[in-house]
Amino acid sequence: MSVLAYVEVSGFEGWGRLVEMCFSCGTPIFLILLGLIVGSIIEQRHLARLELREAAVSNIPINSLPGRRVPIGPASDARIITGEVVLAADYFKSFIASLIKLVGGEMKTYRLLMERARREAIVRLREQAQREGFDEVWNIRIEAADILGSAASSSKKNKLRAMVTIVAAGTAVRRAPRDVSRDAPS
Amino acid sequence: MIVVNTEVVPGRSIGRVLGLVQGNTVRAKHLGRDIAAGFKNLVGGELRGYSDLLTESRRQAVERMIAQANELGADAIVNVRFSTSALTQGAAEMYAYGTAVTLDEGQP
Repeated sequence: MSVLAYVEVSGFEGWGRLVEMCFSCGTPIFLILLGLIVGSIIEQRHLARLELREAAVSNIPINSLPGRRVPIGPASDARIITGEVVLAADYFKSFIASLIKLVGGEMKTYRLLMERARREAIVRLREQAQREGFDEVWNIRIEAADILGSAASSSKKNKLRAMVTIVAAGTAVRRAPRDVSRDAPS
Repeated sequence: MIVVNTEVVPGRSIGRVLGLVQGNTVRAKHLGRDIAAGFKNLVGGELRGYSDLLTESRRQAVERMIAQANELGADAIVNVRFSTSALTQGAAEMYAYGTAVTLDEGQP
């Protein structure tokens, strides 16, 4: 399986070993390339879609204020709304992260994955608010949930598997017809 | 039932605080979804099955919380929080909790 073994054996048998060797290290390389190519296509398309959708919901302001003084219309209109997303890392991202784990430092591939997941969850929340005719979302809370289980991701079989789960919740309100400027956040 | 995650119900004043209400659920997707998730880990992208799982779980947890508040005779649930925990691979608990209150008539 190793290079040494190939050097020692000559002729037809040696070629057989070489092919075997290519197969044994070929699979991870193939997976890394697959992750790099398909993964970045999916990522780029997702980011492009996010840009469009964020522009479409730009008329729904969001904030993280607990809302003691919420400028609103009828009280029955306030409602909790949510957005959730589960995003998987591709094999290339996980591979890069596992390399960084050796030397330490920022795992940029994973940071961008978290960022994408958060943007997606917030956009979904704002889209829901927009669909139901709300004007603003107050008291946004964003948290990362763990649905795979840390035990699962630390096992040897799942060493190169990562997924993020983002759960966002907020209170959607309608603006009061009058006195909008009085309490509204600037 | 008014369900909000702010500390007050916008535009209304709280009458009485009836106490904590909560609802939870543990749901799992079938094995096929887990296998599909394994493939997604090669190329990246959204795991729609798991996203849907969360949405369903959240709805169910909120429904159970509302049922509890109804039993207490509440008008609204304020300061609702969600929390999740992983019991085992592919199964998630969604837990929703908030404070059941009654509302006074009219503006504060």
